[in-house]
Amino acid sequence: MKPQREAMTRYDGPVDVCIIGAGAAGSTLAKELAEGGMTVVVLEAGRWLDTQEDFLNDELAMLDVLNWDDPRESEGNNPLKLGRTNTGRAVGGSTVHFTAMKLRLHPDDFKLKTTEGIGVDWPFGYEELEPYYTRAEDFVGVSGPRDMPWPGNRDSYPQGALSPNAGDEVIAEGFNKLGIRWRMTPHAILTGEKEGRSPCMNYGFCAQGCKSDAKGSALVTWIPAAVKAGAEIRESCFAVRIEQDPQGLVSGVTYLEEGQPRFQAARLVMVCGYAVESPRLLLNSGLANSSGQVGRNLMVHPGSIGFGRFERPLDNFITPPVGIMTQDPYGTQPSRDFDRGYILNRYSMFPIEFATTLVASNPEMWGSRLHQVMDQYPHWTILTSVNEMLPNPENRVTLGETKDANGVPVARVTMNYNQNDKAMLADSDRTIEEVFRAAGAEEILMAHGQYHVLGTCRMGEDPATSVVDPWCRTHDEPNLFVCDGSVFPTVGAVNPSLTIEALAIRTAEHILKIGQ
Amino acid sequence: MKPRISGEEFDALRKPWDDKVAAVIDQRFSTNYSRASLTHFTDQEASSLRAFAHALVPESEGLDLLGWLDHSIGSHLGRGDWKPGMPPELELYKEGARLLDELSSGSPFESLPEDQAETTIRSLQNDETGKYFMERFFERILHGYYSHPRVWMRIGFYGPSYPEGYIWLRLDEVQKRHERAAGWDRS
Repeated sequence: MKPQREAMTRYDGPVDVCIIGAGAAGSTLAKELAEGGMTVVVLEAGRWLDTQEDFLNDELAMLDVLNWDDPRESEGNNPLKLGRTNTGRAVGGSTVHFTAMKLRLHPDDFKLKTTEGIGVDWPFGYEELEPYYTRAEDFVGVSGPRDMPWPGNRDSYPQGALSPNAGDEVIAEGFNKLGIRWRMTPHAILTGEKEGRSPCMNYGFCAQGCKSDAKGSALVTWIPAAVKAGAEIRESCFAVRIEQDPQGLVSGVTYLEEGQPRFQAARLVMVCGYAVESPRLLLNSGLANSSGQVGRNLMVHPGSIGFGRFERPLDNFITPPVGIMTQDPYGTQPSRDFDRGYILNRYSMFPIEFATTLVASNPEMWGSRLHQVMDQYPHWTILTSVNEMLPNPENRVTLGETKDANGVPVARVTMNYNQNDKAMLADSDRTIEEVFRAAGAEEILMAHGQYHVLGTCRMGEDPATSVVDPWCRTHDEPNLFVCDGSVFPTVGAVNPSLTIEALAIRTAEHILKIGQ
Repeated sequence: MKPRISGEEFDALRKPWDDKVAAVIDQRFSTNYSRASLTHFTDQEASSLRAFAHALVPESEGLDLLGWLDHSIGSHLGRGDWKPGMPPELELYKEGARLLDELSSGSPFESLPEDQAETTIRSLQNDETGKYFMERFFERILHGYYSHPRVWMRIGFYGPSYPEGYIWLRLDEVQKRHERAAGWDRS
């Protein structure tokens, strides 16, 4: 990686495109736009880490390295924990710590308003995004099964599926007894060779930064290709404000590099900071908000987290954190008393995450009770759900009262679950407990979590009710784009990185087309 | 308590580790987080908080968990959210120490017998600031405790796997591995 960085093109003066954020969206855009012949500078607040030199196989040591842990105000009845599990800070963004699940939205997800009268429709359908899903999967090298039985998946993946671990084996037994279909989760993790990257060695330390490049984070996939195509990645550069000229166009970005203010002029500015930092930057810049929609409709994926203890040791922490999955509970089902649904997947946690997750949801879990559970660490496996949340304008990102170390107002994040969210969590709790009982678990414990941050800069046709158009261009400023998880009108019950990358390829293709 | 992984077995696990990760973990091993003096807390605050940490995580590995917390203050540990209206981190811990003593009906928390300490902790959980203090303080203590290699040996976590990888994946392989390990007969 070092030689690649030394050979990188550097730009002095105005460029065609300035991208803010080098995560799943920003690095995909950088590659596609640079390959299309545009001059591209990417500003990334985090560092450009080396997988071999900088990543350690240690849970604690990596916490301060990979996560966006700047101050944020978090409030509401279901306040978000921000950093670790949802927002990254590094070249590669959250994909450096993600679990690499690569799932497509289902075709039904794009038309909820039309078909069910809930939420909002996407401005286009699944068939529009389908070719871009395929391109993203092929490029990062997704491994997965050959016969996914659920809608919106391909028949076979570029690489064969990962191996199950012992925790998967016992959970599969529970699924089988209940007649629930399951498959190994498609992952951006190689099981064979691909362009100098080696197959997965089952280190288990995916969330601490994969040392072997087997995990297809943006850091080892889109970024090297972007640099090769002539994009410049500027690490440790924090965007403070997007500037506007008297004609109403944006003119570039003011950013801080080692505390020094700098300015990058650009014909196009693309905000790719994910669903907390993107609206924060727009609000701090006073842009794209004539609708008052910037920051609104924040969505997460609430999740049930079940811990099942088995007589046999499982050493569940071996292999990537996510194993087999089922999408059978996906979408609205007439037998249930709530809208939409969830997926379930086997999960693993190293000791810190294991203990802190349990403690956060179980007020009795301290003292000797904590030891009783943790001293059986090799005997537990974990089954989690990813639940769909519908948009609610009152769940939102605004500017807080406090300022960060650079004097920039921080984001205030407000989250309250509604009755639908609570009913769905109760149902996913029940299903997980049933699976564990069927699998023969000796003890079951439950906790709740929240994954991903999405929404806040909705995509749509109507400038009165959305922030960006179907091509991710802001309705208000014709040369300002927002392209990341913030533009999702609804979020399905799947991890978002694949959809973010597919959207970014589609957006880049459009920009190159209209630029000609 | 008999650890699941013996010292001898842990030494064998440690051999292939890369130098950087080995240095990080050896450091924890050699210091046990102990600090000659605390930077952030008065003696009274320290005794209450130390007793509270021990009530939450009754450790028998000889670790200075309050020393770990004192050392870690200023590091975000990957989490940046804070509840509006709550005191900043260090003040929250100091306020927590004061609350612990106050809720212990005037006696210092560290002097309470076990059942009364439990009552105090329940009262703490019913107080808005007390609850938030307990959440953040406990979370931080858990980070120190469960990243210490002596605790990994206790619970059966093998630590870093790079560069060799863990090679036992399936049920039968895991079982065989455990049958060879020191703590197998305990379960």
